[in-house]
Amino acid sequence: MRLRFKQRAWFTFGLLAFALVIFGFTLGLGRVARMVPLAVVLPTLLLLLVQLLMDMRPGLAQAYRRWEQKDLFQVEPLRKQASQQMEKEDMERRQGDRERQAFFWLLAMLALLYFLGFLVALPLYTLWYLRQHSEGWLKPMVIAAGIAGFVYGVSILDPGASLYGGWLGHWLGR
Amino acid sequence: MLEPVLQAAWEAFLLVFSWPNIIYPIIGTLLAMLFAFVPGISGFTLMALAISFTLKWEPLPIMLLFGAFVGGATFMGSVTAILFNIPGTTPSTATMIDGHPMAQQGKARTAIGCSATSSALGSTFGIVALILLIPFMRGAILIFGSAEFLMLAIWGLATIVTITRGSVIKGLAAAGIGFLISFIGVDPQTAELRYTFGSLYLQDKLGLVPILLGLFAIAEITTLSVTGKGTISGKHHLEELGGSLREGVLAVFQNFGLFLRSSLIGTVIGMIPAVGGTVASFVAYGQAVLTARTHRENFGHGDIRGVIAPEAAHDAKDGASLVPTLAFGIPGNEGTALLLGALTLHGLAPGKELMTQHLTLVFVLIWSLFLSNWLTSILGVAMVKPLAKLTVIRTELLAPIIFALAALGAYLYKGRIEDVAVAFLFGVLGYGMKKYDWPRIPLVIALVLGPLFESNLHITIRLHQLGRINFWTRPVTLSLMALTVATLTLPYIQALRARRAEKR
Repeated sequence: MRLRFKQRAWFTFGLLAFALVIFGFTLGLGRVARMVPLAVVLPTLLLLLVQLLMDMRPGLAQAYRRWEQKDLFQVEPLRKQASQQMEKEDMERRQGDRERQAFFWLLAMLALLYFLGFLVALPLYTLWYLRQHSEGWLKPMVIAAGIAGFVYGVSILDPGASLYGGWLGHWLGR
Repeated sequence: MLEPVLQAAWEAFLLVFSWPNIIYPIIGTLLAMLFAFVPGISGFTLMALAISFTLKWEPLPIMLLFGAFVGGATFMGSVTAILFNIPGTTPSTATMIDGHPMAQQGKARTAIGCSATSSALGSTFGIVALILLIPFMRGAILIFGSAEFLMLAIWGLATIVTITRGSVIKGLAAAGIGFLISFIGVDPQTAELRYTFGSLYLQDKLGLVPILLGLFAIAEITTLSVTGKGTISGKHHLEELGGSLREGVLAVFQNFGLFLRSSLIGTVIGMIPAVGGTVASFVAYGQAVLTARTHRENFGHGDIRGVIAPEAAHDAKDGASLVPTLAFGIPGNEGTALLLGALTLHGLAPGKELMTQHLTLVFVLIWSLFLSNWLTSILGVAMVKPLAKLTVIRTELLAPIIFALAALGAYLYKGRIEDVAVAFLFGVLGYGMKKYDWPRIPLVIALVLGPLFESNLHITIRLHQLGRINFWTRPVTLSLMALTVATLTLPYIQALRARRAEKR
C-alpha cells in the first residue's frame, strides 16, 4: 500500500496529534473528570485515523466517496458538485507563496500588538498592510487614522476594558 | 385572568409611544446597533456600561432603555455575519452558514432583506407568545430539570448529522475536536483541572468569541487573500450584484411555515434558562434542513431558508427569554442576566411583586423590545445598499480592517491579550478546515453544547442513581428524545421514500 503524506494529510495529522495529546492527559484524570472526555476522544481518534488514511491513500478516499454517494443523506447532487469543485479548487489552492504571506501578516499583527499595544499597533499595522498592498499614501493614511480613532473611541466608551498597552505601554509607565 | 394583563399592556403601550419616552428606545436601539457591529463587544457590553451610568434613573426610562438594548443588537450581529462571515453576536453563527455564501454570490441585499424581515416578524412572534404566557409562566418553567437540559443538548448535537455538508467522517471528527476543546478548564463536577498545562488562562476555558472570530472572520479573510479573490462577492461594482431587497422580504412569506416553526423553536428554547440563542438558532437551522422538501443540497451554499430559520428563532427567543427572568429571576442568557442586575439595582425584584404590582413596567420593557426589534430591521433595510457596497470593496482594503476589528473584539471580550492569540490560532485552524473541506459548524455546535451536555449528564446520572428522577417518565424528556430520534432518522426515511418513488 503506497501512502503519500500530502498537505491535506499533514492538516489531519495535526488534529490527530491534538486528540492524542488530549487522550494522553485524559488517562491521568480522575474517574469522574475523564468519563465524558474519554467517551469523546476515543471515537474522535478513530475518525481522525480513518480520515488520515484516506488523505494518504487517494484510492481509499474515492471508495469512501462512492459509498457516501449511495445517497444516504439525499445529497447526491451536492457530492457530485463537491468532487468537481474539489478538483478545481485544488488547482487554485496551490498558492504557497500567498499562504506564507497571509500567515506572515497574522504573525506580524500579533507581534506588533504584543510590543506596541492596541492604540499604536492597529493603526500602524493597517498603514503598513495597505502600503504593501496598494498604491499611494492617502487611502492608507485615512483608513489608519479611522482605525486609530475607533480604537481610541472604544477605550473611552469602555473604560473597564483598559486596552493592552504592550511593552511600549509598560516601558512608558502606563 | 387576561383582563389585568391586557390593561397593563395597553397602559404600557401608551407610555412607550408617547413623547419624550419614545426617545429612550430609539437612542438605545441606535447604540445597540453600533455596538453589535463590533464583534466581541456586543449589546451586552453596552448594557454592562449603562448600568453604572443609569444608577440614579427612574425605573421607567431604565425599562425603555434596556428593552431596546436587548433587542437592538440581535439583527446587526447578523449583518456582519452575512457580509463578512463575522458573527456580531454568537447566535448569528448559524446565519453565516447560508447568509455569507449568499453575499459571496452577490446576493447580500436579498440576504439582509430576508434577515431583517425574519428578525422583525420573529421577535413579534416571541413577544406575542410572551404576552400570552405571562398568566401561565410558573408551571412552564419549573418542569425543566437536568434531564431535560441533557436531552436538549443531545437534540442540539444530533443536528450536527443533519447539517453537516460534505464528508460525514470529517463532520463528526470536527464535532469531536469541538467537544475536546470545550473540556479545557475546570471539570464542572469535581473541579479537577483538565488540559490546562499549568496555565491560569486555560483554567478559565477558551472563550467562545475569540474562537468564533478566528474560525470565521480571520479564516475567511485569509482565504480571500490567498485565493486572490478580489472582493467578498467577486464583483467590483454595486450594479453587478444580483438579488434584491424585495426578493429577501418575499422569501419569508413564501416560506411562512418554516418561519413559524423556527419562531416556535426560538420561543420555546428562549424560555429555558441558560440555553440561549445559539442553541435556538442551530436547532432551527437543523430543523430547516430536515423539513426541506426540495433542494436540500443547497443548504450551506447560500439557501435563503438557511437565513430565515436561524433569524426567526434568534429573535423570537428575545421576548421568550424574559419569561424566566421576570417571573423567577432566572436569567436566560447574558443579556437578561444584565437586565436582571439593572432591575435589582433599581429595587424591582423579579417574581410575584414585579408580575403583579409593576406589570405595566414589565410591558414597558416588552414594548420597548418590540419597538427596538422593528427599528433595527427598518434601519437595516434602509441601509441595505451601503451595506451591500461593502461586498464590492477590495479584499486588500478590507483585510487589515477586519484583522484589526477581530483582534480588538477578541481582546474586549474579557480584556485578555491571550484571547487575541487564540483568535489568530483558530484563524489558522479555520483556514485549514476551509482549505481541506472540513466543516466548521459541527465544531462550533459541539463547543457550545459540550459544557451543557457534560454538566447535566453528571447531575442526571447522580439523580437517577439516588432514585430522585426517573428519566423514562418525564414527558418533556421523552418528547425531546423523540425529536432527537426524528432528527437522526428522518433524513434516512425521506431518502428511502424518495428512492422508492423513483423506482415506481
